[in-house]
Amino acid sequence: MSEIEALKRPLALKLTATITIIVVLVVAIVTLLTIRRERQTFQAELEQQAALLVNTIAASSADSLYFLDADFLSDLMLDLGRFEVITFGRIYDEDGRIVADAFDQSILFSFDPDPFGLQLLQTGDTLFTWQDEQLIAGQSVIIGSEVVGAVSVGLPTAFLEPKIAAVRNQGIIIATIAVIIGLILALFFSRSITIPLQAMIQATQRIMAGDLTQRVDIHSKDELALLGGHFNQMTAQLQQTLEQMEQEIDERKRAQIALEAARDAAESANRAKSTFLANMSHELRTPLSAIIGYSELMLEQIELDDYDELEDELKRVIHAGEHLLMIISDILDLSKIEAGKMELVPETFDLTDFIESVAMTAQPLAHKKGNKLVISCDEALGEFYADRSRVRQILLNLLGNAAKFTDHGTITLTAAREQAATGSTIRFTVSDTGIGIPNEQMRLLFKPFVQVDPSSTRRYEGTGLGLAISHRFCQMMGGRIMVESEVGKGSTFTVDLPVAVDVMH
Amino acid sequence: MIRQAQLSILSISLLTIFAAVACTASPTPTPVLTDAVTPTGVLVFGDISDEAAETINGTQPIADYLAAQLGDYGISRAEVKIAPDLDTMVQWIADGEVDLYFDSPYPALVISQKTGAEPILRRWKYGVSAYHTLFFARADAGITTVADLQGHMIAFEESFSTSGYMLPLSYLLEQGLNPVSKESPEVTVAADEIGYTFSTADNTTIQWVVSGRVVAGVVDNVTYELFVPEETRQEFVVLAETEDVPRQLVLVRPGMDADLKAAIKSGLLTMDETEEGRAVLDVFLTTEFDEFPEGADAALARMRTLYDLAQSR
Repeated sequence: MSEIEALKRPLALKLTATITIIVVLVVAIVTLLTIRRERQTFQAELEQQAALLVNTIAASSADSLYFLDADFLSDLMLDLGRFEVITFGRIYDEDGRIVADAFDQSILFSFDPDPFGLQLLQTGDTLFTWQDEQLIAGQSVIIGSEVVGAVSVGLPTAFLEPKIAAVRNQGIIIATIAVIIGLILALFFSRSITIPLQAMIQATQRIMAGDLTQRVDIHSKDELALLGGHFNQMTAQLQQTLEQMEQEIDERKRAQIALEAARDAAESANRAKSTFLANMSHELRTPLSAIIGYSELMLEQIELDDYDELEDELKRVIHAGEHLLMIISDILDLSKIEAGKMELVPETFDLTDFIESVAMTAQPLAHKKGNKLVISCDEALGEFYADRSRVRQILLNLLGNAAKFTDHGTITLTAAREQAATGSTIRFTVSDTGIGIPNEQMRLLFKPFVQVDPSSTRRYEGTGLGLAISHRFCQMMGGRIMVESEVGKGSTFTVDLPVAVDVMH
Repeated sequence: MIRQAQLSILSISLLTIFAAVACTASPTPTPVLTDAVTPTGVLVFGDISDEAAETINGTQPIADYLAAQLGDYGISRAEVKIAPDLDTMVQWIADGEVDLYFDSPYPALVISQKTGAEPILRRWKYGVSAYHTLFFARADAGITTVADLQGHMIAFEESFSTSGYMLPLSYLLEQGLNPVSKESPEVTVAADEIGYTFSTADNTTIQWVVSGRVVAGVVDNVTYELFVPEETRQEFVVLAETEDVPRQLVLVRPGMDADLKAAIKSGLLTMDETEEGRAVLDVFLTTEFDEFPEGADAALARMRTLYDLAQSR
């Protein structure tokens, strides 16, 4: 509900209206009940008086009814009729016929019984009949066990109305006073609630506008005062929290800015490094290739001239040059990758032929330290769409590492087509029975320039870039590389690549 | 007297009740005390009634009116004396305590017979100069003539009533029947008798016939026509009607001065000729006073015959 809609029916109006309606209803009900009770009391009193009168008449007329002394009964009724307070008076004989009437002598001497007279004769108790303007009371007249007749009188009810009207008017006056008092109390009560609430609404609006110094001041010593106190506490806590948050945000912002600056600097430095390395590698490869080339020419010439004294030195030069060239190539690849300049060239090729080719290349490396190379592939691996040279580079790198860290052991290459939730993949595994990798070294395995044991760099020849480059190539082709290893038992590297590599990766 | 006491008790009860309910009750008329001896210069009217106040209130105006005309005869004011019974009235008239008395022929003749009071005029009461008695019975009783009443009980009014006793009794006797007085309606009546018992009032007589307490009753023709509804009269059969007699007689005490008597007679005869006189007559429930059409002697002679017949029983 919007504020405008809420203010269309303000709480004060609702409270005042509700309490007033309740007061009016209660007072009206009490007044009506009082009037009803008074009416019943008046009616009961009138019935009591009518019963007394009819009893007296019955006692006075009993003997005359027994002898059917109609003259006396008529005189009795006529005398009664002279009293202005009775409106009706009759005496009935034992057959229910009217033998005396207080006002109308023309109905006497009828042969027909009167219905009300018959009713009275059959009823032992006093009967009361309320009519519009009179109360009729009647009873039978009994002597011994014989019903000798009946009598009835009517008393006017007109005088009841002024009495009831007086009670009603009194009730209306009291009700009016009660309603006025109720209305005043309702206003006072509703204001005692709404004024603190309005103060809290105004404070809330100012807080919404940003002024957290707002506090409410309620002295009613009730739930509203408690609410006001909690409101103030909440506002104070909110103010304190916001101030802390602002302070933290400022600090974080400053840290973020410093971090971003550091990251930019690092990235800039990295790009400079990569650019430098790429340029340097490119520049180094040319003279190094010339050195290697000329060294090989010199070695061929020496062999032709049988000049054996320099053969070993030249071979060492060539070997060292080739190793340096390999390092430079790795550095160049990594630099291209980090500089975002490495591009994949995917193609479709037969995977079985591909594995055979890789195995043929790796065979000499494995045998170098007395290892056995085992190839295990599914019979129908099918075609594979990927950058053939990079996949080959990954597998040869893994097989080279296995051969490097395994002595007289077994190196196993497997390839299989797997069905994963994301689609078909080709899973390659390279396992060895070599020295294994300690757990604490596992997380550093795919970082560049890192070998498991720093001392191994000298013992096991290598740049420490192979796994980092393989890891990056896997990522670029939408795959992944994982490793499991146990020190002294060997390692298993697993490479998963999509059957159709997405170049976008 | 018992009835009067009952009514008084009831009235007191009513007053108590009405006072309790804060209602207004009609004031009880204050009885007029009368002197035991008629003082000189006072004209005394007499009547027999168990409703003294009502009777005095109805009589005092005519007494005052007449007294005012009799100043030349030493009359300065008037009083009304109410006797509880006929014997008392006989005594008062005999003693000269009552100067004027109005009643129907039978009690008037009783008083006249016993005191020597003189009937001087006829009174038209309720606008009627003469009346007679009806014998009536329920149509379903199988009674069609007075002769059929033999062996049955009939209701008379009271023993000093003209229409409720003297006229019907003398009629039955003149018819050769045998009316016999009985104490109550329940007493056995012999086959050769017509039992009669006193109901004490005409309306009681009618109720007794309606309720079957008696097979027949007698009332005067005025009462029958005025008070018995037409529907009820359809259920009755009139067995017989007696001869007419004057409605009421005016008696003056014996020994009254002739001039005074003449002046009283003149005053009564001319009352209906003035506005004031007619107003007083209305209060006294009287239309006029007149002479006996057939002459006083003739009229009184027949009435005395009937009286004697009644007295014979």
